Amino acid sequence: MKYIIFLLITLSTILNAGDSHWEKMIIEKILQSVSNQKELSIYTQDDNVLTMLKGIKNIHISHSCEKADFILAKLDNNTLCNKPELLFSYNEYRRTPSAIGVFFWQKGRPTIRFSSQRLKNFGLHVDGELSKFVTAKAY
Amino acid sequence: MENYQNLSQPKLTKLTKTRIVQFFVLVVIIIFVTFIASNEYKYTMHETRTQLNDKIISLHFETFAELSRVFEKDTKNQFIKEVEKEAYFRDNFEDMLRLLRISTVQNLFVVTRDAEKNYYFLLDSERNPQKRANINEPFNPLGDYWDRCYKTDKPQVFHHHDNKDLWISVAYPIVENNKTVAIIGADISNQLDINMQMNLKNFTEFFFWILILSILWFILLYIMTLYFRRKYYEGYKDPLTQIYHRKYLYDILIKKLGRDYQLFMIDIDFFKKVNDTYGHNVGDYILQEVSNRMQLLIRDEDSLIRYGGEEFLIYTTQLNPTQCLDFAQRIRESIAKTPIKYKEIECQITISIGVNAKASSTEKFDDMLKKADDALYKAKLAGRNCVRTAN
Repeated sequence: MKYIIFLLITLSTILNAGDSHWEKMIIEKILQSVSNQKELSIYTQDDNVLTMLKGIKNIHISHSCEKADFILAKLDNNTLCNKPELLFSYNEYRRTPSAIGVFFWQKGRPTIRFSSQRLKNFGLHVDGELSKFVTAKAY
Repeated sequence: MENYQNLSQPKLTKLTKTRIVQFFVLVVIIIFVTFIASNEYKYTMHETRTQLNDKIISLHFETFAELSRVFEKDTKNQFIKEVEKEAYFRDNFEDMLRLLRISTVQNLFVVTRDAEKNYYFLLDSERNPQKRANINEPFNPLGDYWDRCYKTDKPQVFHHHDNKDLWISVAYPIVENNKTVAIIGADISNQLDINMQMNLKNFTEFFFWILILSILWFILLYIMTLYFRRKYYEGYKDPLTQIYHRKYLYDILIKKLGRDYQLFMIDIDFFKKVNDTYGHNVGDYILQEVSNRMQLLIRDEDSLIRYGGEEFLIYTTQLNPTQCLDFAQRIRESIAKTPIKYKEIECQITISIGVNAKASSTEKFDDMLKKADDALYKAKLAGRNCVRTAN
């Protein structure tokens, strides 16, 4: 718990939009908390996210939505695949039933939320430090 | 002050050491004064900044206290319920927040927390949809000051260190029935701090330059003092022999005579004959050489003066009559022992010395001088190249 709080405080302190290093660490931590798998396959259509994911250990970029374990960032409307999504906008998180969690900036503060119901739908649960951010409601 | 070319090696070394010590002491004083001034300045700046911080925070507290009272009054102590239910209240309260949100307040919002201690936005002064936090949107309470605000029902302040945008966050409780139900949160932009720091920095630069100029001025004064002191004493030097002349005796030395002192009146024997025989060039060289040899034998505190023509005067202190006689003999021997050579000419030069070993400042200086002169006359009568003392 202390680690993630420290990480979030440090991240908010540095608050450098150009420095994706800390965001990368947070995303890595989120993915590790949600999945027990040693290696994860991620699908994303967002080039920025794709760049950020490069170099993260045990995370592979999947070119197929169906073969991926998780989807990062909102997909375009034509892509349909029932996989758990981690989004970066709270409004999209609210509107997307398959979004299990969200990581976004609000008032200069990095914010994480998980939906307990949506996690359950995918048979997932959040372990460790990030379990604090699991809530029943996803407005 | 001193002509370095005429100084013996030990005297030159001693003079150099004295100058180095003086300069070192000056540097130490400058460093010490700079250190004290710098510490005092830092302390004052820190105090000023703290006081300004406190003032800014207290102004925000006053504003939020008033706002909190309006919220409670308008919702009749049903703040959360009314804000969640009534869009009318939300719009009105957010307008109030916008009115209070001056340019240096980056974020101004109201949050609450549920039973699981998750924080949610209730109100936000931001109009931009991209930045705006809607009602019930999660809020990440970084730091424990939000919880402390809930726990203590008192306003809390958090200082962001090294944050590029935020400087201070203020959490002000909205209290109903002695219980905090929501918190007014304000993130004060560090633009205010930057402006303040810029002003302080300008002052710091001003202070720094004043300090540098003072140090330079101090060093310049020290160098000028040394220079003018040297020039002042150079005026009392005989240009030929580079030792003090008679004016020094009456302007300077006479004012700092010891209680007991000794005078040695010295005359070069048959100097007129040498001058007439070999010319003035030889005569001048002999005067220089004689004064150089005597210079080597006197102590730092003694004074060698060209009294006139081929006459010299040595002023000493703390010598008893025996020591005076020994000293005078050493001087005489130093001249007589080695002939003075000028080009092809070799001159066997001797001197006669009259000593007043018991001169006293209680008596007239001219009388003391006359006694030494009388003794010199006796030495001349005794056949020259000898020392005689005054009765």
